[in-house]
Parts: sequence; structure tokens; C-alpha cells
Amino acid sequence: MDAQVRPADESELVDAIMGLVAAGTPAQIIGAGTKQGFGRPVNAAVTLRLDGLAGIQAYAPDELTLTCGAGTSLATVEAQLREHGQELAFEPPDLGPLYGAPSGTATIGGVLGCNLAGSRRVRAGGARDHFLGFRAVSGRGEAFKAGGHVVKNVSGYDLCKLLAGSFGTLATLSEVTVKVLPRAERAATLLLPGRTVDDAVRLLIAAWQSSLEPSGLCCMPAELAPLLLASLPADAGCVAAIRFEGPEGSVRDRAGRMRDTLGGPSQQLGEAESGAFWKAVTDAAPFAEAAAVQVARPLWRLSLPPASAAGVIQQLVVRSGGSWLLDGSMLWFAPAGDTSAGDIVRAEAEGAGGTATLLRAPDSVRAAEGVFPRQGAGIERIAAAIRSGFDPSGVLNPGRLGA
Amino acid sequence: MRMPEPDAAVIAARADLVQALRAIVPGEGVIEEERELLAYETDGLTAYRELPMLVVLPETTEQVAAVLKLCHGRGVKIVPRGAGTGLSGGALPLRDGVTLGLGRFNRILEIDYDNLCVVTQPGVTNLAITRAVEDRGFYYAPDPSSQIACSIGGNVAENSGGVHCLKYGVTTNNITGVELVTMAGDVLRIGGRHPDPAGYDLLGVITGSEGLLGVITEVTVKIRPKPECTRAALIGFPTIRAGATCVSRVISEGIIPAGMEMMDKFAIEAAEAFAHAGYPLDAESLLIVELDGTVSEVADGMARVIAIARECEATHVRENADEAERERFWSGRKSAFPAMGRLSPDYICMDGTIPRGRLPDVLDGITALSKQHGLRVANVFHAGDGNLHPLILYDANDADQLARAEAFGADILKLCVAEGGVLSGEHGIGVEKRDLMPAMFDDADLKHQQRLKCAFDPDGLLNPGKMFPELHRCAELGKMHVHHGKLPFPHLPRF
Ligand SMILES: Cc1cc2nc3c(=O)[nH]c(=O)nc-3n(C[C@H](O)[C@H](O)[C@H](O)COP(=O)(O)OP(=O)(O)OC[C@H]3O[C@@H](n4cnc5c(N)ncnc54)[C@H](O)[C@@H]3O)c2cc1C
Ligand SMILES: Cc1cc2nc3c(=O)[nH]c(=O)nc-3n(C[C@H](O)[C@H](O)[C@H](O)COP(=O)(O)OP(=O)(O)OC[C@H]3O[C@@H](n4cnc5c(N)ncnc54)[C@H](O)[C@@H]3O)c2cc1C
Repeated sequence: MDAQVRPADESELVDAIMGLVAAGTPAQIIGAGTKQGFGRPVNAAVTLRLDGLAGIQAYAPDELTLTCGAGTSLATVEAQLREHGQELAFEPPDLGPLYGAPSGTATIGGVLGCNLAGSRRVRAGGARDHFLGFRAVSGRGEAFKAGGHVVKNVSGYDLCKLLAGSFGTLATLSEVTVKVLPRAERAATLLLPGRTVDDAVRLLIAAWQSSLEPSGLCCMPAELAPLLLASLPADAGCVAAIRFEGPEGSVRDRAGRMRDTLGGPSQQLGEAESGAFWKAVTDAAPFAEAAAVQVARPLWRLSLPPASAAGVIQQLVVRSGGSWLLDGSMLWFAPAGDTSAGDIVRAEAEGAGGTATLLRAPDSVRAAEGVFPRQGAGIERIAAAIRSGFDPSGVLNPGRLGA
Repeated sequence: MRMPEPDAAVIAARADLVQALRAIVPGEGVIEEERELLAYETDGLTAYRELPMLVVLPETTEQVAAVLKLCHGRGVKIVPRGAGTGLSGGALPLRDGVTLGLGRFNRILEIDYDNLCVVTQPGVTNLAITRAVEDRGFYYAPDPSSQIACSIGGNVAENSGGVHCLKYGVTTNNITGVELVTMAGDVLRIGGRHPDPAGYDLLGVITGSEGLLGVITEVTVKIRPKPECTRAALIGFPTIRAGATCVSRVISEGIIPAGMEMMDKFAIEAAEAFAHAGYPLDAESLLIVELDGTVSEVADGMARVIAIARECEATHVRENADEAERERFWSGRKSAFPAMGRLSPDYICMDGTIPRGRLPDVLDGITALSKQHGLRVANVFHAGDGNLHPLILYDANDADQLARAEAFGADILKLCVAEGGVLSGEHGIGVEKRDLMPAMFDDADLKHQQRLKCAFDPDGLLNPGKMFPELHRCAELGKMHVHHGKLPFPHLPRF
């Protein structure tokens, strides 16, 4: 029943979307298809698969920009950048394993479409902040572009922001230009074990407020620590971790000074361990799902004002029980048992002035409860108007972001 | 400047509108006297002037919402205005429009150090935010040269940058929430004190929307801890090319300076005469490179920058000895505009961005255009991100000079686009570059942009005549042109 269309260039993509419009057939838009559990279930008979639009078109390390087909795999982009000592500073996570998919299959279009960023978000910003320009085909079947190929640009509306995190519901990206940055020479991580949740969050905020420029701030219950780095003990209490990146001398200096300022017991991770640890935090590895699993365990991602995190964590643990990982302003929460604990999680997130997204759950739960945070009627009205302007026939990922 | 045809019926009903507005904003908040309206006839782009029909200065979000609702109902156009320092004519009034000034929204509402943010009204100046938090060691990073005067609401509307944006990003990277009132009078609260607002990133599209999508009545900005150490170097080169090469080499060696500014010989001379900043007058190009971070990191980085500069044939290298000298280095660059003001009755500041590597060729091109149009030009630029600010000198009293200055400016921007760059790096499109948009965007591009506009303001009453060379009616933009019969992939079952 399912038809798959895999355009090889932008003009085929235009034809494909024109065809959908003409036939009144909605399609599910996928990069390489790893993020299908994200967003509300899509009711579509056709799958439009973008990984044919692949390949790096222009990479100018001196200009700090890279242009490639939107279906280019993230791994290809990152390998190319590594050769020149550069990287995507927003540290894109690989969330495939959360859905029982293999790691390393994401495309750059999928990462931008979901606006995904990792632990360095606290310092470098989100995917949206590194998205400079694109070519795309809207649900009208028209190819268009926005933004540019340079790092600074205010010519016209910033449609890159609109498409980042739009989950393929407005337009299908065919080509993207992103900002790239030099990779830090070194990284080191300060681990602060045996704290209470309150204490741990307070330490992270003190680090954030310091001029020592940390590039990762996370904490978790101690029993989770060995899942992030096998050599870590599952002590009592809660562990905070602070990352520093930069030239060797600077990293050593800053980590040492932070340790002295914060006081209490601590441990330092070297280069390799630090790399493995933050990769696991960024990918939310403790919550990965086994490949063969039939019923997905609900998993939430909350975006919070940083200082509210301790209170939210304590309430969630008391009211619902479950496991959690705080990564900067982002809190991962897996409720105990099979329930989504939707009312509790949403109420706590909203009460703190933040938002909660149901990243993973069985289809029936996602369809019933909705995946994305509720918004006011005024905002919903504008979002619906934007959607009908870009995709009036609703052929792109219908139902992905909401009704 | 061609502007939308004034609506005679709206102008005829002016007295009645004044009454209705006074019922919403009492006292002196509604301005109708020509003498007082004159203060609003232009913004930082003084070449264009128009008297607004009325000016209204509300003080609360409720008043803004009521004013917009009233005007929406009566089909009256609105021009939002912050401090009026914009350089692209975004706040240029309309003869049949109400200029809505946000100057009375001048309070900082909350300083939240724990969440590293400040909640402020839009009329607060950019610098006032840093002033409010600096005693605790924090600051707001984007620093337009106009920061003592420009409003944070205007910064959001223009997505403004500054000399420190290379490392810390422009406005859009430094705000997490706004309150916005739509033309229909709906009050929307978007984002908050957390990153990544839910749903479509409306915060992202409002930033840089030049007052065309809504009126911003509150902003939440991120604040950062002040760097422990800041050092600057003044580096002179025998050619533009040598300076440009140095910029590229610094970046490609993995150093991201807090700021990296460049000036050409004419700009160096003018700035030095004005500010006595200690600039080398024999240099063809001058770089100010500023690094910040911890003491040891800055010392190491500066040593590397200077080594690179010497390899690039720098003829003059001076590191600041103390804070006073660092401020002196910047004083010349930051006074480039007033310095030009002394050399010429008028000037316009262009704002294209190019791929950095194209710098020497583009400057050669600008020199050739200067000869062709018979007008002098001085070049200052945010070299780190390729954002050029050619300052074209002219005399506005001479109509021919104004016309030549405009043509020269347009040619510079077309050159930027042809070299892979863009029309505006930070000053916005406004009326100034509106008619050049087709040099960068084709019809489909512009129509998709306008579809965003239609979602916020379907009647096109908010700041019309800005940004888009041609305003399509939203009903027309909404139509689908389906080519029935043309079915690609005929082999697929559902097609
Ligand atoms: C809420 C959420 C749910 C997730 N659910 C799943 C899941 O069920 N299964 C899974 O394996 N991983 C899931 N992930 C993780 C994600 O799949 C991986 O991190 C990986 O990056 C996906 O890359 P992809 O290229 O395969 O994108 P996809 O998973 O194919 O797409 C991700 C989103 O981006 C859109 N998109 C993709 N390409 C384009 C394009 N060219 N233009 C416009 N939009 C595009 C898609 O329509 C989709 O909405 C989820 C992540 C989040 C945040
Ligand atoms: C000497 C000088 C130096 C400058 N240096 C820089 C620089 O280094 N970097 C830089 O980026 N810019 C610079 N500028 C340009 C200017 O200062 C900025 O664009 C600034 O952000 C404008 O703010 P404003 O409050 O003056 O806005 P205005 O000029 O009043 O308005 C600008 C635009 O924003 C809209 N607007 C204003 N307030 C609101 C609101 N509350 N809601 C909705 N829309 C609104 C207006 O409709 C208009 O379209 C400079 C200007 C001058 C005169």
C-alpha cells in the first residue's frame, strides 16, 4: 500500500509535490526515516524520502559555512568538517536509538527539521542559530529560497527560523547552508558527585553565571551515571557535570578554578572519557530503546528556565516517579511504569514557565494526548494560517505538529 | 520614494480618529499638531521624510492592543517606531498612517540572574540593559554602535548586530521571549525564559521582521557573565588585501575573536582626525582585533593573532596597554559616522554582507564605482563576518548628488549579491533596499515571505511600503495553481 518517492534533485521534488497536490494525497516527509516516532502520527499513504538529495555542494572552511543537499547524512557532513578541524557547534544529537533505530542514520534536513541540539546548546545555541539559508519546495509545489550563504544576514524574513523545528510541515528542504565553527582543541569534565538535586542545580547555575565559559552543564541521579559512562559508580544522591572546551592550557585552568570555587568532592574526566560522556548525554543514551521493542516507553523532553529545574525534578519524582537527566535547560524524563503521566508533566513544565514535548510513546498515546506543548489560541491561529499559506492542501506531514 | 497610495477617506476622518485614540491614550499621548509631528518625520535614514498623519504614544500593552484594534477596524495603517535610529527607513511615516511610538515603554521589568535573563519593555535602550546588570558582572552582548540611543524593541525588529556579534551572535541569538500585539489587537506571549519555544519558531521570524508582523511590547533577553579579560590589538597593513588575508587566516586557525573590525585608508584618516585614537596614518587598512576570555587564553590567542598579522606583512602592531587605551582604539571606529559628518554634509551607510574571501575584490569594485558615480566613499566593516559598511558622502541639497548616491549604493549592494553575499547584514531592508529585493530573491521567494506576512496581518496595515517592492493581496497569494493533468510518477498507485 505504501508508496515511496525518492526524488534525486529539486526538480523531481517539485514534480513529486505537485503530484501530491494534484492527487490530493498527503505524504510523510522523511530524511532517512529515523524520526518517525517524533511528532503526532502522520496519516499518509505516500512517503517522500529526501536522502536522494545528498552531497556537499560548497564548503569554505575560511567562511565558516557549508552548503549541502538536505538529505545528506549528518555523518557525512561531520566527517567532512572534522577533516578541517571544524564542527557543527550545536552538537546535533543522534536520537535514532531512542526509537530502536540504529545510530548514525540521521540527515542534516532531519536534524534541522526537528531543531535538535545537544549539550553545547547552553553555550553555542540551537540548530536554529546555525541555519543560514535554504532552498525548499513548499506544499504549493513551488521551489523557493531564503536566507543566504553568509553568516550575517537580515535580508527579508528569517524563514530559516520558521523551517527549523517545523517537522517538514511547511516545506521540504532540498538544500541547506549552515554555519560551522572551529572544533575546540581539548575538552575536560568536572564531575561533582554525592549532591542533592537542589545542590546540583545550584552548582550548575553558579557555573553558568561564571566567566569560565562552560560548554556543557548536566546532572542526573547517581544510578543513571554508569549508563552514561561505564566507569562511573552508581553512588548515592545526584551527580553534576560541567564541561570545558578550548585550548589545552585554558581548559586545565578553567576546570581547576571551577573545582576550587565550587568546593566539595569532585573528579575530573580526561579527553576520551569526556567525549564519550557528553555524547551519551547529548543522545540521551540512558533512554535508548531496544530494537525489537513492541511498546515504546513514554519519554518526555522539557525545556525549562534553568533555575526552575530542581523544583520540577523533585515534583515529577514525587508525583509520578521515574528517571531523569538534566542537560542545560533541557530535562529528559521517563515516567515510571507505562503511563505517560501527561497531566503531571505538562502541569509541572507549564507551571515553571517551560514546555513539555512527548518525544516517545505508543502511537495511540501520542494520538490521544498530542505530542507538542499547548499554545494560546492566538498563537495557534497564526500557526494554522502559516501552515495554510505554505501548504494549503495539507499534503506535507499532515497531523505532525497537531491538528 | 514610492509609497503606498494614501487613503483619502482615512485622512478625511482624521479628527474622528483623534477623538477615538484619545479615549484610549489620554493626555499628551496623541499628537496631531504639525509642529510636534515634525519630530517624527524621519529616522536614521534622513534622506527620506514624510509627516505622519498622527503619532500615538501608548504606555501599556492594553493601550497598544486597543489602538491596533481600533485602527484595524477602520483600515488605518500603523508604523511602529522605537528610537528612530534605524538606517533603512523602517520607521518612515505614512501620510495616512499612525506612527505608534514605543518610547514610553521605558522600564526594565525584571532582572532574573538565576535564569540569566532580563525582562524589559521595548523602549528601553540597548545600553541601559547592560547598565542595569553590570554591577553584578553581567552584560547584554549585541552592541550596535547606536546602543546609547536605539531601543531594544527596535533591535528585535531589525535583528541588530554590533561589533561583538562575531562571537556572541546577533539579537536573534540573544533573546528568548517577546510579547507581541498583532494588527487585530491580539496579545501573544511567545517563548519565555527557556530556549526553543514550542511549535513554529514565531520568535525567530518576528526578530528582524521590521515592524511588519506585530508590535513588540516586551522582550526577554539573555545576559552573560562579563569575560574575565578583554584585550585588543590595532594592526595596520600596507594593502587592503593583506588585511583581508589576515582576517581569513585568524578565523581558519580556529580563533574566533570577540570582534574584528576593519577600516580603509579614508576611514582611518577621518576617524583619526576626529577621535585621535592613535591610528597609523600610513596604513592602507587597519584591523582592530579584540579577544576575550580567561587571562591565559586571551594572552595565548593574542600572541597567535599577532604572529599571523606579522606573517601577513603588518606594518603596525599595537596591543592595548590598559583599559583606557583599549577604549581609545574603539573610539575611532565607533565615531566613524560623526567623523564622516565633519567631512561631508550628508552620507549614507550601506550594509551588504559578502563571503569574507571576496573582500579585496569587492573593495576594488567599490573604488571603481566611486569613480564612476563621482562620489567619495569610506569603508568600515565588521570584517569577521564579512559585513561591509561603505559610507557614501554626498550633499542632500544637490538633487543630482542624492540621486547619484542612491544609484551608487544600489550598485554596491548588487555587487555584494553578485559576489555571493546579501543586501543587508544588520540594518534591514526598510524602504532603502526594498526595490533591490528582486536582485536577491525571485518572485516565488518573495511570495513565500509575504505568505508569512499574511498569517499575521492579512490586510497589510502594519508598516506597508517597507521590505517588499510589491505588495500582493493575501487572497491572491493564497490561491493554488494546480496543473491538473500533469501527474509525475504515473506509475505510483495513489497518483
Ligand atoms: C519528538 C521527536 C521524535 C522522534 N521520533 C523518532 C522516531 O520515531 N524514530 C526515530 O528513529 N527517531 C526519532 N527521533 C530522533 C531522530 O530520528 C534522530 O535524531 C535523527 O536525527 C533523525 O534524522 P532523519 O534524517 O532520519 O530525520 P527524519 O526522522 O526522517 O525526520 C525528522 C523530521 O524532520 C523532517 N524532515 C526530514 N527531512 C526533511 C527535509 N529535507 N525537509 C523538511 N523536513 C524534513 C521530517 O518530516 C520529520 O518531521 C525523534 C526525535 C524527536 C525530537
Ligand atoms: C550612528 C548609528 C549607528 C548604528 N550602528 C548600528 C550597528 O552597529 N548595528 C546595527 O545593527 N544597527 C546600527 N544602527 C541602526 C539602528 O540603530 C538599529 O537598527 C536599531 O535597532 C534601531 O532601533 P530603534 O529603536 O531606533 O528603531 P527605529 O528606527 O525606531 O525602528 C526600526 C524598525 O523597527 C520597527 N520597530 C521599532 N520598534 C518596534 C517595536 N517595539 N515593535 C515592532 N516594530 C518596531 C520600526 O517599525 C522600524 O521598521 C545604527 C544607527 C545609527 C544612527
